Parts: sequence; C-alpha cells; structure tokens
Amino acid sequence: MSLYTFFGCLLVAYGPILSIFFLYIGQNAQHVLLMVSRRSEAGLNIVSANPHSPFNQSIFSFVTGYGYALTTTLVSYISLLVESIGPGVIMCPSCPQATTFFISAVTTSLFSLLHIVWMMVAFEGFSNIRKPSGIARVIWVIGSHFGASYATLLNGSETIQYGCVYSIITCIGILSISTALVAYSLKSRYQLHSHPHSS
Amino acid sequence: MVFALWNFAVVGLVSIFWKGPLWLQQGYLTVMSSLMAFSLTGLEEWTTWILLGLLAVWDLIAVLCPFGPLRLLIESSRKQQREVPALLYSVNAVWFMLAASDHVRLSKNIIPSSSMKRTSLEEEEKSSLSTTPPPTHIEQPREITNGRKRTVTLTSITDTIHSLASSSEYEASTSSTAPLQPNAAAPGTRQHRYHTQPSSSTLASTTGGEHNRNDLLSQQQQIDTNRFTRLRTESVSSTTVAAQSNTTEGDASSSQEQRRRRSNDTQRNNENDEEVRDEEDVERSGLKLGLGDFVFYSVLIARAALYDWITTVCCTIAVLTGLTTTIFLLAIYKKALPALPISIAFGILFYFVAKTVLVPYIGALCVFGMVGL
Repeated sequence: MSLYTFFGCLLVAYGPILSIFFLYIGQNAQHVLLMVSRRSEAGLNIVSANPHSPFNQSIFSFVTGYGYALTTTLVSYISLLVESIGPGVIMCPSCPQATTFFISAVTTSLFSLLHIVWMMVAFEGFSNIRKPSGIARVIWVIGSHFGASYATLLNGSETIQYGCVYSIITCIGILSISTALVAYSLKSRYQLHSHPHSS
Repeated sequence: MVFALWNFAVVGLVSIFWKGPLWLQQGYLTVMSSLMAFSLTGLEEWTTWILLGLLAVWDLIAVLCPFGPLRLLIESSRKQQREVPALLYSVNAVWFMLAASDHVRLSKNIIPSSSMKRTSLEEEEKSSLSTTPPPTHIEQPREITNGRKRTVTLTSITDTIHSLASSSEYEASTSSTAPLQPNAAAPGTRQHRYHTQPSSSTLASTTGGEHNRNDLLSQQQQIDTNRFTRLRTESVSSTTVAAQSNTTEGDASSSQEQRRRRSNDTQRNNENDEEVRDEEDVERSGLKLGLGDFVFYSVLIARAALYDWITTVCCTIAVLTGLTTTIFLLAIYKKALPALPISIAFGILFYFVAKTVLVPYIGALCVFGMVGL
C-alpha cells in the first residue's frame, strides 16, 4: 500500500519534469549542460548550432528554468516522498480526505512548471529592463512567486475548508497567466524574426 | 553465491582486459567504481571530508605546479620521447571505444551532413576492436587498442603519421596510455603513463581492502591509479565537443559514466584530404576524464547520501556543476587541468550548507504541506 503511494506520488510530482527531460532536453547535450550550470549562456552561444537565432534566448531560458525546477522540486519534495514509503500517512489538514503526500505531489508538479515559466518571463524581463514591459515582467514574476508560495499555505491551514483546492486553483491560474505572457512574447519575437524574410 | 561471484569476476576480467561488448565493459567499470566508492564510505565522516579536501589540493598541485609530479612526467616523456611503461591499456581500450560511440553521436550533432563521416566512424569503431602487434622492444600486454592504431585504418598513411605526431604531444590523460605503433613510423612513439603518487591512492586502495575479490581489487587499484584527471583540448572544434559532452550524467550516486575523448591538435601540415582531417578532428576532439575522479565524486556523494536525501541532491548538482565548469575552463585554457578540485570544493561547500540550512528548513516546511518554495 505504501509502495503504491510512493510510486504514485513520485510520478505525479515528477511527471512533467521527467517527460520534458526525455522529450526535449535529453536530445541535445548542450541543453543538459546548460541545465546543470545555469550561468553559461554566453559560452553556449558561441558553440550553439544557430548562434543568431532569436529563439536562442528562449531556449536557454527554458532549459535554465527546467534546471532550476528540477533542483527545487527535488530538494523540496524528496523528503516527503521518502517518508511515504513508511507505514504511516499524514492527512492534509485542510482536506481531510487526501494525504499530504498526494497534495504535495500535485503542488510540486505545478511548481515545476511554474519555475520553468517564471524563468522564461524573468529572462525576458531582465533583458528588457529599461522598458516598462521588462520591469512589469520582473514584478509579475516576483509577485506571483510570493503568491504561489503563500497559496500553498492554504494546503496546511485548518481553518479554511478545502484550502488545498484553492491553492491548486491559484497555482494553475498563475501558471496559465505566465504561460500566456511567454506565448505572447514568443509570438511577437517570431513575427519580428520572420518579418524581414517575408516579402 | 560463490558460483555467481566467480562468474561475475571472470566475465568482468574478460570484458575489461580482453574483448567484449562495449556496454559490458562500461557496466563493469561502473560497478567497480561504485563498489569502490561504497567501500570507502566505511571511513569515518570527518576522515572522508578531510581526505577529499586534501585530494583536491593535491590534484591541484600535482597538475598545475611546475614541480608537480604529473607535469614533470608529461614533460619528461614528451622531451625524451620515451615510452612510459604502462599498466592500463585495457582502460584505455575502454575509453577509446567509449570515445568512438560518443563520437558518432557527436558528429551527428555538430556536423549536419555527415553520412560519409558517420560511416567512416563506424568502420573505425569496428576497427578499434582489432589488435595490432605491439612494439617489439616493449613488453606490453597483447591487445591494446588505442586511437593511434585505429588511425591505421584511415585512408591515408600520411594522415596517420601526422595525426600521430600531432596528437601524441598532447596525449596526456591519466587513464589513457596510448602506445604508439612504431610501424607507423611516427616520429614520436610516445607513451604516457602516469603513475599515481603512492600516498593518496594507495590509501584509497587499502581502505577498500575488504573486498573478497582480490584480483578485481588489484585491477581496481590499477584503475584507481589514474586518479589524476587530465582534461585537455586543443582545438576550437573541441569547444563544441566540450559543450556537448555532458550528455549522460544520470545517477550520480553511482556516477561513473566514463567518458573520454581524445583531443587532437590541429597542427597538420601535410594533410592531403580535407574531409579526412575534419573527420579526425571530430573523432579526436574531446576531453579525457580519469576514472579515479569519478570514484572520488562518488565517494563525496555517497557520504552526502548517508546523511539525508536533500544533501544527496545538492551535492549531486554541485559536482555536476563543478564538472561543467571545469570543462568550460578547459575550453578556455586549453591545457591539462585537474578535474577534482572545483567539483570537490563545490561538493563540500554544498554539503555543509545544505546540512545546516536546507534540511531543517525543508523539514519544517513539509510538515505544513508547503511544498512550494
């Protein structure tokens, strides 16, 4: 029983991470390198296959965010995961029907995606720091990061019924807004890039 | 139990020191290094940390200082053009075949239109398993496959000679002792072999002496004598290799993916064939990393694992980051660099930081279900 819990929570929590790794990052060794050491963008630009592509920054920020997500999710969830092999369970205080393991697993998977997206938004924000859109992005990242973290407080609170549901919804909301930001900027960059080529 | 153990040992011997499938060799070296690292965890905690710290300092001194023993060895073997008697050809063969398979992948990555190159790489991979008669004036084990011998199968002998000449100068890897074939009439039939400095590595070997398999242990001692890392790269193409080399850093607690690629010098004066030169460049560009380094990385991570999962993860990432930093430094400086110090410094630092800061923090948070940070 507890072993089922272990594997279930493992896959739930680390599903996005593992799938992204095997699909996208594992195929290019550069990305693996960047994932591990996140400050090597300049060096990698030299050796990348397509140095002047405007999407390089997006790819780098994606991979960097992925690396950061991997680190934080591993560090934050692994203790709980290992506990779940043991014989007992901890019920989530605000949702008494679900174990803490599971709720935390879901939260972890959401946070991994959130970290990736936050890193991408932050990259664009910091590279356009003079413009108001850059500053706005950075403020959004910091603010939503705090917001998501505080939302997980709802997981453990006992006074708010179904607090865990609220926290998951909040995190999904922040994730969707951030993804929309990223998609918007990618699209505008794509249009800028392809515009000289179009007749 | 005895039967299984015996078979394991014999197959290991055969696959490492004689012919065998590449994956088997890799697997055996991985398992041996893991066992070695595991047995070293029998040391006390502070002993391990101090040992790792001193090893890092020693590596730094031995490689970089002008009076360091390894540098002297490199210099003397280069000057006198004398072959250093070596005991570790088999490891070299492994490295070499690893290099071949990695190079196939490598060429696919960085050379888009390389069908011809790929096929020639495959043929070289096959030929790397062939053995050539050793030089008569040196007593060596029979089968030695090294990169130089592989070049005999290339298209032109002149290329062989010049690549031998140029690459042999920089043949300074711990685990790779590549005996050159005198039949190729290479001007410098050199052979580099680095005897480890007795104190640290024999300490490491003797503390692991609880192994019952003494024969494998002695092999492991031989392999562990390659503790010093050499990372060399000489050409710009090898920076691309360096950037792409870190493909498989999977399970770090038994993290002995031995990767070794030979880096080649681009001084080729009489190259006839441009394409062949590019192929050789691709094939030989790369970096070499000693097996002993991976053993010590594993010791560090095993010791971190004995405390908590979080420290394991942190130290894994620290060691990997140190490794990639070293690779980048290699691309910048283009000479032999010790691979141990940076990774071990990061690892030790992260271990203690994680132990004091992260573990209680996460422990306090997870109880509340606040997994997101």
